[in-house]
Parts: sequence; C-alpha cells; structure tokens
Amino acid sequence: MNDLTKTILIVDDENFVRQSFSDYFEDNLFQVLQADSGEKALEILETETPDGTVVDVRMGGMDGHTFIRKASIKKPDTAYIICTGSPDYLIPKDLKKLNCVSDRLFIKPVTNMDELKEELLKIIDMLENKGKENG
Amino acid sequence: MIIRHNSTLTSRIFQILTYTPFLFFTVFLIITPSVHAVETVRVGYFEKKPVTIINNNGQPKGLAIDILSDIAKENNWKLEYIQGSLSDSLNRLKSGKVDLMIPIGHTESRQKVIDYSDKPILQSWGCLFTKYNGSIKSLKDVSGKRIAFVKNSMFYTPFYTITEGLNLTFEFVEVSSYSKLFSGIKEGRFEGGIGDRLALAGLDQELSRIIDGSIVFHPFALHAAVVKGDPKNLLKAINNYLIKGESTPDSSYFKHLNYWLSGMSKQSDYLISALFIVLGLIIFIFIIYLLLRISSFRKALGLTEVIQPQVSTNILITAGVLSVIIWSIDILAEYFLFNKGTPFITIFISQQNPHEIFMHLLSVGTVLFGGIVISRIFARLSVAQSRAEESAENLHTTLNSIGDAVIATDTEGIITRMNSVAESLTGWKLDEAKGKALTSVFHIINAHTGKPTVNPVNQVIEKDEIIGLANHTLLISKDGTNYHISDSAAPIRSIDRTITGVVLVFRDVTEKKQLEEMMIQNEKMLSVGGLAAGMAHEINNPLAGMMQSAEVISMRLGKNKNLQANIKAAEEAGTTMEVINTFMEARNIPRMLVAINESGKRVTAIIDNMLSFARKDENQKSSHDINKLLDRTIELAASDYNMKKQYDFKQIIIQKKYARDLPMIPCEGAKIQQVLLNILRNGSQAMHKADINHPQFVIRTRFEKENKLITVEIEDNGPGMDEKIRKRVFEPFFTTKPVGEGTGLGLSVSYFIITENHDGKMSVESRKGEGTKFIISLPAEGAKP
Repeated sequence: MNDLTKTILIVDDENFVRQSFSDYFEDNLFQVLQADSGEKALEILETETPDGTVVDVRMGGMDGHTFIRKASIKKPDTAYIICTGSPDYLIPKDLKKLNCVSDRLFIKPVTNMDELKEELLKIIDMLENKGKENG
Repeated sequence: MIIRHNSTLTSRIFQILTYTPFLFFTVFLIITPSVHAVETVRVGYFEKKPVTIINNNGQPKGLAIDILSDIAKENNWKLEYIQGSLSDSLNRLKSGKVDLMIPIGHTESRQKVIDYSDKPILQSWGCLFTKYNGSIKSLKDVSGKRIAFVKNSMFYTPFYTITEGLNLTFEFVEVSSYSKLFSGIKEGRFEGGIGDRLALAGLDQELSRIIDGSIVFHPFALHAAVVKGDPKNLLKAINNYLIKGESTPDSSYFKHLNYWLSGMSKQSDYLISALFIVLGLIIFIFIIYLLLRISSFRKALGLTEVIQPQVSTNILITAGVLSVIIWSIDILAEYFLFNKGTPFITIFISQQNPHEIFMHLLSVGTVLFGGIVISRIFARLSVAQSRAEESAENLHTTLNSIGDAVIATDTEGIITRMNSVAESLTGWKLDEAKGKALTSVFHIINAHTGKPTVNPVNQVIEKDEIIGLANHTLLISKDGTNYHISDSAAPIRSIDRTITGVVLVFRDVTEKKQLEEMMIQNEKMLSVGGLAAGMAHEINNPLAGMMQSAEVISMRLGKNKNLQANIKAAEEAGTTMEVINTFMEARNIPRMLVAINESGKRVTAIIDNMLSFARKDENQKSSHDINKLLDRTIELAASDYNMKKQYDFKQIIIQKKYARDLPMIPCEGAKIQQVLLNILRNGSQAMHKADINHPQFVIRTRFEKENKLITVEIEDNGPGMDEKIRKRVFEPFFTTKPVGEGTGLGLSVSYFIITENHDGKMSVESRKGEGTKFIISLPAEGAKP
C-alpha cells in the first residue's frame, strides 16, 4: 500500500448518506467502495482490501457490529469507524478493544466530515506503522 | 324509735324478741317448785322521787319498788300497788285497805298507829329549797319571807321547831305537791320551800339550775310501814332484806341504791359523758371520712375508684352520722321529754329494757344498712357516669388521633365537633367553630370553576347516604390558604336509624396533587425521551443525507472548487468553474446551502436535547459547591452572547443570599449550570419583556438537614404567570415565546436534569404580577438516594 491513494469502503443502507460520504471522500481523492449491507461489504472484502471502512450500525440484515467482528478477522489491518444515527449508541466493549476499530463514535449527521477523515487517516497510519514494525 | 314504727319487718322481729323473755319466764315458773303459797300484798304508795316514781303508764317505779319486788320474789308475794297522796296512803293503811305503805318518814304521831321497818329504805335530809342567788342564803334569812311546804309534810314540824328556837318569823304557805312547790319558788310566789332533799333528783334541767338545795336541817329516814301490829308479818322479810343488803357491799340493795340515786348527784356528769360519747363518735366518723378520702385506703376497702368516689362514701358516712344523731336525739328526747326523771344512764343503756337497746341498735342498723344500699347504688351510678365520661374522653382522643380531618354537624349543618386536623386545615378552633354553620367554617369551592360547591350536609340529608365530594375540591381556610382536599360526608344515625347529624371526613391532598402533577410531568418527559431515542435514528439518517450532501456541495463550490473532477466536468459541459461560480453567487446558492446546514444543525440540537430525557449517566458526576456553581453561572450569563444581544444582563440586580458551609453536591456541574442558566435566561427575558423597572434576582441557598437536601431558590420580580402557564412550564415544547425564539425545551430539560439525572426536586411558585420563584433541591453528599 505504498500508493498514496487510499481505498475506503462505505457500509450504509441509507443511499443518500452513503453517497454523501462517497462524494466527500472522492473529492478528497480517496478510492471509494460502497456496500448497502453488511453481507455485501463482506463480499467486497473477498476481493478488496480497503484501508478503511465507515460502518453504519443499524442496517437491514447484518448489522454493523457483526460485520466488523467478521471483517476484522479477515482484514485486521483495515481501519473501522462506526458512524450511526442513534445518538444514545455506545460502542460494544469487544469492538472497542480492537486496535483497528476507532473508539471515537461519529453520529449522523456528520456536520464536520473533515474530522471523520482525520480520524480515519489516523487509524490507518497507526495500523500501517504497526504492520511495518511487525515486519 | 321512729324507725321502729315505720318498719313492719322490724316491728315483727321486735314482737318476737319481746315475747322471748316471757316465754323464758313462763318456762322458768313452770319448772320451779312452789314452796310457799302465793300471798297478795297490797302496797299503798305516793310519788316521792326517786324512791317511788309514777311512770307514763301510771305504773310505779323507783328504788322502793325495785327493793319490794326483790323481797316479793324471795317471799312469794304478789304485789298490788295502790297509788295515792301521802295522807291517802296513810288513811288506807290505817283502815286496812293496804297492807304496806311506802315510803314514809318517822314521826311521833305516826308511831302510834303504824309500825316502821327497822331499817330505812333510804336516809335523807330535810331541806330548805331556795333560789340560787336568791334572798335566802342561810336559815336565818327566812324571817319575813314566804316559805312553802307540801301538805302533810313530815318536815313541817321539825322546821317549825328549829325556826322557833332561832326566833325567826315567816309566813307558811301550804302547797299540794313538790312540783307546785318548786314552780312557786321559780316564779317567786314564795322565797323558799321545805321538803325532802331527794326531791332534787326529780327536777328537770331548768329547775335544777334554779333550785338550790344546800340548806339542810333535818336528817330523816324513809321507811316501809305496816298497820300497828303487822298482821301479815311483812316487816320481818323487809327487815331481813335491808339488814342483809346493808351488810353485803355487792347486794342487790346497793345496786338499786346506786342505780336510783346516781341520777341525783351525777346527772350532769352523765350528760357530759353522753355528749363526749357522741362527740367521740363524730370524731371517729370524721377520721374514717378522712381516711376514705385517701385513695389507697379506699382501694384497700375495695371501694370504687371513680370520678366522684366521694359520693358513695359520703352517703355511707352520712348514714353513719345520721344513725348516731338519731340515737342521740332519741336518747335526749326520752330523757328530757318523755321519761323525765329517769337517770340518764338508764336511758342511754337501758339495762331494764334489753329490747330497747336492741331497738336502738336495730334503728341505727337500719339507717346504716339503708346508707350502705344507697351508697352502693351511687357507686354503680358513678361507675356508669365515669364510664360515660371515659368513653367521651376516648372519643375525643380518638378523633384527635385520626390523621384525617373530621367535622361533625347536626342536621341543620351546625358544627358540633371537630378534631385538631380539621382545626388546622380550616384555621378555625373548635371553640370558635362550635355552633356555627358548616358553610362559614368549611369553605369549599370547585378548583376548576372557582364556584362554591353544594353544602355536603344538605346533600347527605337529601340523598340519605354517604357521599364523596368531587375530586377537585379546594378548601379555603380562615387565613386564605388553599388546600386540595378529598372528602366524604356520611350521615350520623342514632340507634333507631334516624339521622341526627352529618360527619365530614377530609384530608389535605395538596401534596398528593402536586406529586401527581410531577409524576405526570415525569411520565411526559420519559415518553418524550423514549420517543426521541426511537425517532432520532429515523430523523438523523435522512438529515445526514441532506446535510452531508449539502456539505459536499458547498465544498465542491467552495474550498474544493479546483478539484480535477470539477474542472473536468466544467470542460465537458463547455464552461469553466469561474462561470459556474459567478452563476452560483448570482443565484445565492452558497447562502442557501448555509441555510440548509444551519437549519439542519438546529434540528440536531433539538434531537440532542430531547435525547437527554432518556440519558442517565452516573459516571459523569463529581463534587460541586452549589454556591460556586451559581457564581460561575451568573458570570456566564453576563457574558452570554445570546443574552447580550437582547438586553444587558449586568443591569439586573442580583442579591445573593447564600448559606455558608454547605455540603458538596455530587452532580454533573455542566448540566446543573445549564439548568441555572436556563432559569436565569428565562427570568431575564421575562423581566425585559415586561419592562420591569428594577429587575432583580434573589438567589438563596440553604441546607435542609432532616432530608439532607441543598435547596436553591431563584426568585425574580418579573411579571409572574398564571396557574395555567405555571402548570405547563416544565412541559416539553411548551413555550410562551414567539416561534423561533425558543424551542420550549429549556425548562423541561432542566426539570429532567434535576429530577431524573440527579434525583432532586424542581418546582416553581408564581402568581400573575408577583414574580416567579424556581426552587431546586438536590441531595447533598451522603444523602440516601
């Protein structure tokens, strides 16, 4: 992943929200992948290895938690950021423990998407450095 | 004596008992063998007290009679008494009409025709009776005076002889009896009189005080006498008896002598001793009475310990005293009126007449028994009375122990009774309210309409059943305080089921009402919170689609406008980004995007506030000093931009009345500050809007030790609010501000923060035109949750 262009996967069943994230990240020169469900996102992960994912929690079918649990096993070097519309939501403890999962929660609407981008890059950077150390 | 005739039962007992000695005597006579034949002895006598006395029944009594009856018993004589004067009796003796005569003094002339007993029955003195402190002090004073004597008196001759020897001249007056002699001296018809000194014994009390018997002149003896020759040989038996009697100290002769003569010299002593006995009895009864007043003594006797225990004991004592008085009156009446001349001791304890003693005891016993019976009845009555009083007392204490207010009225609605709770709720004391109409004391109105409600007494009497008052009844007390009450009114029925009055039972439900209001408030909040939580996700997603897209648009047209994608797309559209920008600016597109974003942000803020109804996070709490929190909030308010732009917070006078050394409060400082700021902001706005001249806040803090609450009061002098608004002030989305100025969530969020997040209390007091006071209570550290 020496390429400067980062790949990001947006997992959200809300089309407009997913699209707005996608637009934002494209404008910021990310390569963006989209999935409208957890199942589809896992399918994508069969072939792709994004640097980061923005994951919604409440989705039809597989919810965000299940997706992260499964994906983080497959792709432990990918950064995961949870972004939900439920303001009283708390990140489950088991996910919080994982290095690849940001412990900062973003509530939709994300009025400052730059913050989201910074957080994502921070985690990606941290994971890359760790990968280098490990060899 | 009085009692004796009244009671047939006692008279029957008396009769039976009177017969008993006769029965006994008859039996005695039958079994005693007769030695001599019965000899009839006729005895002539005249009254010479105390030797011979004629009693009320005309029967003879006295010393000589007692002696003769003793002699008659010994000799088997049957005595027949024939009464007459001295000369009558002498003539009868001489003519043989009587066999024996008593009593008679010794004279020479009599000696010729009659024989005397050897021994006298009684020895006495001739006496010159005078008046005490009269003109005669000694024998020689008689000269020139009138001196009386009883016809045929044996003292005439010896007195005449003595006075003649002394050469005294006086006038002799003959009277027919001793009583005439004494009454003559008393009335002054004559200065003196001569006679037997023994006659003094027969004087009544009045005469004995007047008549002086200290001048004696002639010793004499009174004998029994028979006609010359003693044909029936009577003197021997008499002589034997008298000789034997004189030589034996405890003989019946001496007994008779003592008995009959004691009245003469010891009369007054007996009276005094009798009075002493009566006095002693009275003192004894008085002591008993005093003892009976000591409750322990009464208890020991088993007398009733009641409200008026004296009543029964008093009756008992009265009966005792009465019986003594009756006995005393009886004795005194007998002594002074009926049986004059009988020695006092004889009457006091009638040895001669045992059934008289029995009757005395019986009459006294009857009175005492009657007293006991009546006293028992009274004891019962006073027990009943004390029970009645006790139950009244019980009712009183029970009524006053009831937690509810109770007012009782008669059927006219006049108050008869009320308990202490009713007193404090109505503001009327029982003494004032008693006798007043219920409506003037128990002033109730409908809480909603403010109109007076129907008098419950009338309702109960009309419907003849228990009625419950409307839920929203407001009681207005004497001092104008309003109480929400729940009330019921019931008829009071007597045993025969007729209605005698109405009893109202009511309680103050003001607090309950407030609590209900609060609970409704909380329910509302919680449901809003729950709703918000569910809604937030649903709203936030489309909102995110909208706002995030708007954000991307404004970025593409703003800071990221030189993106390759932008330029490429413009070229493909046959234009440049500059042209597009110019177009966008011209059409105000960026401003519209800002509008979308700002509006979106407000929606987010509302949702966030609503969600705080559902959040409760204990972890955020730390210790805070409420006074410092207040000070910081006031500073914040002064610099708050939103507040500044409308008016100057610094113009408001703030009076801080903080209690010192308050315990710390475990709380989320920022949230409490948010609450305080909300209140200050609301107050400031209200005061500004109402154009208050000297707007001010009074901020008080205090510690309520008993429930460990720190209380903050924030009072403004703003326009206040009416009941309707006050009730809704904490309601979510309720606002009096124009649309856009307030969301209507500030106070409800504050309420929620205090009550739900901090287990505190928040309330508001306000009246239209009188300012508003917010009261916040928070548990201090160490308080039970």
